[in-house]
Amino acid sequence: MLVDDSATILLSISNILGKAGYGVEKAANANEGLNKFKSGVKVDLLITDLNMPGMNGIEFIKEVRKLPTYKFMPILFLTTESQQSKRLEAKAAGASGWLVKPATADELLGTIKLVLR
Amino acid sequence: MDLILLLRRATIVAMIVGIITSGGVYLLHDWFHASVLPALDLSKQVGDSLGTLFVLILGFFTQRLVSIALFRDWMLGLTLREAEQASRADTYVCAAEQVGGELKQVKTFNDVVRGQLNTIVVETEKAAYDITSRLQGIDEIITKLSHFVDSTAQETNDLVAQSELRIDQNRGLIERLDTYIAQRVTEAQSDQERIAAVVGEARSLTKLVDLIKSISGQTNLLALNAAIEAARAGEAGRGFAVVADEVRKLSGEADKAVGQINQGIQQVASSIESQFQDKLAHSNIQQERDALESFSSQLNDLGRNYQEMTAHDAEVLAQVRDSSQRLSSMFMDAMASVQFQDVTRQQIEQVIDALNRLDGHSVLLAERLEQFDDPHFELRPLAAHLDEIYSSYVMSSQRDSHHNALSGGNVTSNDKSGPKVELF
Repeated sequence: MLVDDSATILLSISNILGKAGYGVEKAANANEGLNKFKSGVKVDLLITDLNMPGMNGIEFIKEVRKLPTYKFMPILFLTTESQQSKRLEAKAAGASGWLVKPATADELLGTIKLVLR
Repeated sequence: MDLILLLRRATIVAMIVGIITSGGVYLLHDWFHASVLPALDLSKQVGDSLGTLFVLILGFFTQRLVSIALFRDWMLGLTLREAEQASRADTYVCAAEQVGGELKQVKTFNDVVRGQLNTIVVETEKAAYDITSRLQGIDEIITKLSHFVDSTAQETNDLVAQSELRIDQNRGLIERLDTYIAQRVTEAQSDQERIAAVVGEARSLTKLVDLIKSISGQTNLLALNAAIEAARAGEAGRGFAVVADEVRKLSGEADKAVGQINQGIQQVASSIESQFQDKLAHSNIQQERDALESFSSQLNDLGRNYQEMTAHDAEVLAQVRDSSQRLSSMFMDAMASVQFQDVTRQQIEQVIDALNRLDGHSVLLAERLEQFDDPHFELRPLAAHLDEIYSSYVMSSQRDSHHNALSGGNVTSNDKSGPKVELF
């Protein structure tokens, strides 16, 4: 699942993932993503932005981790934020990896392969 | 005006007035005591006291006159200075009111700038979305092209396999043709020899005919001798003479028949020769051989050309496939680079936040000017806003720009940014 408040990011990243053979479930904000998780959507990986209007990425993944089905699902942050302190916060909340925007297709797909391994 | 200047001016005026007053007292002292006091009927003490009072009053006014003469102001320049300061104060109040009014207009100004920035965000987002959509369209075409190339490559491979099979078959056919040509040459030579043997045998029959003709001539001669001997025998040989005559006639017919047989044999031999002459001619066999070899060679060329053509097709398809894969890779990179818009949007939103802060600060400054005499007025400094803006940055480039702007040089921020990709 891909969660980002930017429609352009949703379109471009989902295209790259689709081209690489992944099916993509999209959500325009954390609440929409959380509702999809609560409805039991089947996904292998969550890619989320950090800074979003309303619920931010870290609060979002904390809520996702509370759902038993997604307790061990890999979660990857794709964000413009680069500070170490935020990463530590995300790691403590249950994130699996961190990728700083703008990321190339190789960086994105390579990281996805690693977290799905 | 500073005190030293004022003191200097007062000293100069006092000295001038002192000199004038002293000179006047010195010159008028005797006249005052001899003429004025008796005329007014005043005692010396009273007269001196009144005279001193008069001199002091006169000295005061003289000082004012001297001050006007020297400094164009009756209070050593203080009056002019006060008027000037009053005028400057009026100007300052006027300017402060103007600045206050302008500061209140900063929000309007910033509204325009914010509007422009928001338009930039909306337009770049729309442009980036359009670019992404167009890239998606291009990718669909590339994907179709790639599928077409794959299917065409498969068809080409099938065609190559089929053509190789056909070429092998053609090679077999060519080999069979070569064998056939060789057989045809051998058979033609054999036929030629057989026909020549038949003709030879036919012609050899003429020797038998000659033998029969010789026997016939000898028979005729023998019949003639028998007729002569029969005639010599007389009546007794009459019957034998008839037989001899019949034998001679038979010999003549046999001779005639031999001539006809010989003619027939010659005609048969000639007819066989003429019938097979074209067929057995060596040049015809060579022409046939050349034609078959030419056909074989053309078949070979055709196969080779077809092989070259399919190889070229395979090369073109490989090139197109390679280009298609490279285009696909470029498409992925182009798609990824669209993220710049999200980065830019967040940077612009940061600038808009800074403008909002500037709005509030400008209003506060205007209020400060209006309430200049309020000792409890709290003015939050810009530095505090700058610190808050710094703490809200998300990118290391923003922090670097911030530090560079403050230091006026190339200073990198001391923030603790991690690597671009990190797995926990």
